[in-house]
Amino acid sequence: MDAKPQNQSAPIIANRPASVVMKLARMGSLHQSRLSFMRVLLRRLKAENWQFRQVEWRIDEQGVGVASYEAIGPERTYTLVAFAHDLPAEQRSDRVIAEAWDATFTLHDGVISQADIARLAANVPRQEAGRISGQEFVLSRANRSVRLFDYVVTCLANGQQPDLREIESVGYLMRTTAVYGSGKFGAADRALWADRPEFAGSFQPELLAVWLIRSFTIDIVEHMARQRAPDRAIRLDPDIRRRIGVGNSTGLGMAPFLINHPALIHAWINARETALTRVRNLPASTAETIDDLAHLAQRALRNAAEWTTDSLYQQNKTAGLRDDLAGLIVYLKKFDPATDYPFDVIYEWGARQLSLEGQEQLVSLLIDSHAALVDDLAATMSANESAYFHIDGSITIGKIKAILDDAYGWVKHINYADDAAIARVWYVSEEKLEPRLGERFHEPIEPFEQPLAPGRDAVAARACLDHWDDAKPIASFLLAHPEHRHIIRRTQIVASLPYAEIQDNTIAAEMRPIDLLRCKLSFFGASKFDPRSDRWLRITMYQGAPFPDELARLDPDDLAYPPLPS
Amino acid sequence: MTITPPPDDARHSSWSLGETAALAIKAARGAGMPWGLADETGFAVSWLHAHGIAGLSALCRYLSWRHNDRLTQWPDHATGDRCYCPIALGTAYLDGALPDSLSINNIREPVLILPFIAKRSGARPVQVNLDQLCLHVSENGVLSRYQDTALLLNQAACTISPAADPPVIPPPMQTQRVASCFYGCVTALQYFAGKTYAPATDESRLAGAGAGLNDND
Repeated sequence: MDAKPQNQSAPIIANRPASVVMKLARMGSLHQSRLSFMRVLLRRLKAENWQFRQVEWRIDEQGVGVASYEAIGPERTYTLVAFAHDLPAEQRSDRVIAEAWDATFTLHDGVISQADIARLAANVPRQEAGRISGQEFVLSRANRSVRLFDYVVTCLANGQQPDLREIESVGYLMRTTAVYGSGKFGAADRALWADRPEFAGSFQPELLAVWLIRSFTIDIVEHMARQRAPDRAIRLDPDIRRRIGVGNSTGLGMAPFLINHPALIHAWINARETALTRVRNLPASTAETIDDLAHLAQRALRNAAEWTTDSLYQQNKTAGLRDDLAGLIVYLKKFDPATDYPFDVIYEWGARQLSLEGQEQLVSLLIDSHAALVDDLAATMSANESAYFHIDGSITIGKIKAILDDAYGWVKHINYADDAAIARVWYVSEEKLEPRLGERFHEPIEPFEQPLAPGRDAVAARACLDHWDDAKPIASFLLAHPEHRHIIRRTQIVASLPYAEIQDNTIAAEMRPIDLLRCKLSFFGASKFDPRSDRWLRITMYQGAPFPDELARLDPDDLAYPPLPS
Repeated sequence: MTITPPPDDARHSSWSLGETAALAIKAARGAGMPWGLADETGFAVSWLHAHGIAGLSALCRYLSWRHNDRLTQWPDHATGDRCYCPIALGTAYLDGALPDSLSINNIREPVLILPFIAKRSGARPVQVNLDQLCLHVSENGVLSRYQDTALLLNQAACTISPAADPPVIPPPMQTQRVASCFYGCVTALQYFAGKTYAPATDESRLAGAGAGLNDND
């Protein structure tokens, strides 16, 4: 069935404007959907019948050694190489300043040779201090979950399955603390693989690596259990195993990404908004479709019920989400399927009745329940930033002023003369070369400020432009004022890509970096966001998803939310 | 600044163009350029290496020289040992703030201006004279047997004019990696990039990344 709108004229409902979507509070409430990159990846691997195999397993009784896994596609093969280490507990830290990990990984382009494994063994365990080559696409590392890893090993060694409640409360055996790609530390530039169909979209090599890492984490607990009790040890039950994902700790290193990749952020948000708009423009539905949506909402409620965090901020949001979903289920059960433009009516009800968490969960559910209508949008979720890099110097100053006044109109609500509006400074620390957030008026860091406050910079450029003749080209202004060049570049990008800019003050005293992180991670497909402060959080990736040996017979999209008890 | 010899394993390592551009941006900023021009420096160095020209070497020399405060801002006249910044001037040329054909004296490290000329010229080569040296430049690269010679020019007059008779030579090979022999340049640029990093304090170690909660559980 063609699920496209019957009405072939222009859609009656337009995309939500950037002034609604690009606010930090809303971006910090986004949820994964079928457009999220992990789900896009698994759909493709399944559709193309990729094969997976463990090629190498040289791990000793202490859990130290090397393993490798091949992902074999229709055209190419990739190899995840895993190095397992014996890390003393006192060295285990999720902080990016750590220098040792329980396991380190790289994704290699092709079938790997022993010579390449030897080369990587000298570098991958050192992570940022080592070098990988143009044959590698990803560099990553992970630490064991103290809460779960030994518990699961002990259970399996005793011949028992672990308690599912214990599994759900953590969600992973290992937590990655960085997944580097795209030319970092010597890895291949994105341009080298961007035209490979298997990597269409965003972050596909990184997420392929993480999915294979998940298999490694299972293999190593089962291996350790066998080492401990060769006669008694059992393997994980597949249904319990599937509830184990890969953890991730993410901090400020990721936060500036959204600001530094304006064309890409536009592509991501635009795909999601376009998907929502297509669903809202459906003129009619059926009782069955509305039932399916209600069923999905019940599974989302189960997911929300399992979502635990020590963060009071997130606890409040999650409690609101549970209430929202309970209310949504009641609403959908009473909903008349004969309603015109039913999904727009449902969306509008949510916009009036639900918290931001609930509204954005509803958006994901509406998208998720219309696969045929939205799945093609996944292919649009990448961007070549360099195509937007060069400034058109011929545009008149009058035109630039007009764009600034329009696209940056939101700055009118911010008084940058107020200390609280410029309280923060984004900087890079000498110690670990990672982004940090500091206090402008309490730390000597202003000279090191990174250009991550577009609103403030737009105000400064606009004031400077006031003294310039509207008829002159912007090139003449830029020659005299190179200090405004970076924001004029953004202005030109935002003029054609409305979702390219976050319409909030990114250096305000009350700004929460975790909102930026959550936005990005939801597009990855993460769930169970667990803020550990206002600047770093933990998530779970691939929880519920099929393993390589199950991909052919299970639907990864159907597993994105936990099943309801039978 | 001291340059330590490369470790043994550096002989086998190479750099991606992406990390090379990122390093060039940070180094340019560390040497005092505004962010917008630092970004253009990343474009220029990446373009040069992609087209087989050692942009990192030119940038290293340029940033070292730039410390001497002998830069001249366009349109002030550059004479004697006072020079124009090749990035600022190249950017102005690409923006269209300067005419298609022009002649300017005293451009420092003039190879760094070539990517901007190439971008503006598109597929149609233009002739670029750096002092006596004649190059043809288009978005496909620098069509000349003398591109390495051009690297030897610390300072030159630059004349851009329509190419009457472009040479018939194959365009230079496009590359995607920066070879291990640039270890010294990378180390030198890391020195400038380091000027953009804030020294750590106990306070920033704890608060800057938001630690404080147990992360080993």
